[in-house]
Amino acid sequence: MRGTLDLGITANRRNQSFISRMNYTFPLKVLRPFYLDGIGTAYIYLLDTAGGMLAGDSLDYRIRVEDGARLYLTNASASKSYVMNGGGAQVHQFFFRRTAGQHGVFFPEEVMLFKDTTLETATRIEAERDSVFAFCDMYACGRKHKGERFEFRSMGNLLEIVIDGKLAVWEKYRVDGHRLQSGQPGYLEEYTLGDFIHVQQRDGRRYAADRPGMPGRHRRRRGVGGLLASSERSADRESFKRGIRGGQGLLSTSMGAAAAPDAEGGAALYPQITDRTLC
Amino acid sequence: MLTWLQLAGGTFPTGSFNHSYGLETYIQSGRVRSAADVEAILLAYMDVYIQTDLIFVKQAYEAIRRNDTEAIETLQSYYSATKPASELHAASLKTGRSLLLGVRNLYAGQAPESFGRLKDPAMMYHYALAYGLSAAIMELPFHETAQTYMYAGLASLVSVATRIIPLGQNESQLVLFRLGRRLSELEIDDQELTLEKMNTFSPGLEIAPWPMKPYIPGCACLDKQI
Repeated sequence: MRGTLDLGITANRRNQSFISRMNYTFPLKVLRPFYLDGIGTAYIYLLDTAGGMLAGDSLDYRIRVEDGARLYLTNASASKSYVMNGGGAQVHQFFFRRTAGQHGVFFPEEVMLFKDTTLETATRIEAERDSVFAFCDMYACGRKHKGERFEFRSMGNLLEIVIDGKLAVWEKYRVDGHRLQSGQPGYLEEYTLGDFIHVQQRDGRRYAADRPGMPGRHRRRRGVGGLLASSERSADRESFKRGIRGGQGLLSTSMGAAAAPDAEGGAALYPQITDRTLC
Repeated sequence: MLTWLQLAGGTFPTGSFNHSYGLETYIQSGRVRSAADVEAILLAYMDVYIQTDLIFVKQAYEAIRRNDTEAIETLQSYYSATKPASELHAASLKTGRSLLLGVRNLYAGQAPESFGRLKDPAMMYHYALAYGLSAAIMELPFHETAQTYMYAGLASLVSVATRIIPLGQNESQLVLFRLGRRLSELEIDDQELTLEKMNTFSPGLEIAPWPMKPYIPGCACLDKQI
């Protein structure tokens, strides 16, 4: 299967964001937006009706957030990349915004990499200096309750974040699952894997008052943070997401996030508030 | 040989001995406690260096030999983009600049022409690039460039571990000796050192330099509802 999604988000005069362009093919579907925060953010769920990927499958996303629009994009369940006897699956993601002042959050659920699967992912994000963007990319092992750990055959990932036309984050790797089995230090160690990258661009406290049409009024700041690792305890991840969803200030501080092993052997996400935070 | 000893021997004023690149975090968290632990974690560093830094050393080396300063700037931007953690980014730039300034000083009064062609007059280039540039400027062969780059990095980290854990002098020298042997046994294919072959996957090492601070539920910027 070759799923495609072409999605455009635009803000109307009342600052409510809506789907202005939508074109998708099987197995992808898009639910109509929810409005949950009172500031017009379009909360959109993607559905993968096929339930997972097999060898030869590909998913191609093109997401555009127009001037002043706000998008929170997620999916309804974890994505699965199943056992493959040969070949592999591919995911291409392209997010971009035409002008400054947008707010985009893409927090899909994790991608579950089953035994002997091969997955290649390429993501490119193009943002402007004064936009706010958060992106989360997580991977989990397959049937961990059956004792499986990361036993995938190969996982390749290319992530490019370009801000104002300048490359800000470049992550490129291809890793074999067997390499992660030994708990070798420096790699996944005790983490169950996730991959989280965020980009934040704007002063947090001013964000609430910031509306399209008022550019330049507030002090700007820019920051890019990256982290790899995540948690088995979904509650931690959920609270982190809620922080992003509920208080966009979190995005706007110069905040990174880091993961540390906890007493249960899992890992918890710790937002790292730097001296530049506005708290 | 003597030039390499000077550049990579630890006495050259690059400041690299001030940076642990996350090793300190491993030691302080108790995950690295012994000489064997140090050796294990440094093998991971070695693995990562080969698949990331060494590629930039090689590409910078080749770029300056063909007078391609545009390529050096491109490499600089790619390298910066692989280091989003500010601690690693800053450390790499500082040590790279120190290295280039140090090399330029060696040629006081008659600095090689290549220095003048570098676009950043402040010489703020990442250490891996600076090392490749320096080696090419000094017309040193690449194989030795690669080996000394790796060895110097490992020696610096062994020194960090020796001071912090602490390890005995003989113990740390044994670790370094073993790592050196592993390094000399590695078959590094120069033709494979391209950006296409980059592998930045080392989450443990990437997280380690980040200072940990606890999650603060009451923090205004987290709880504030807009």
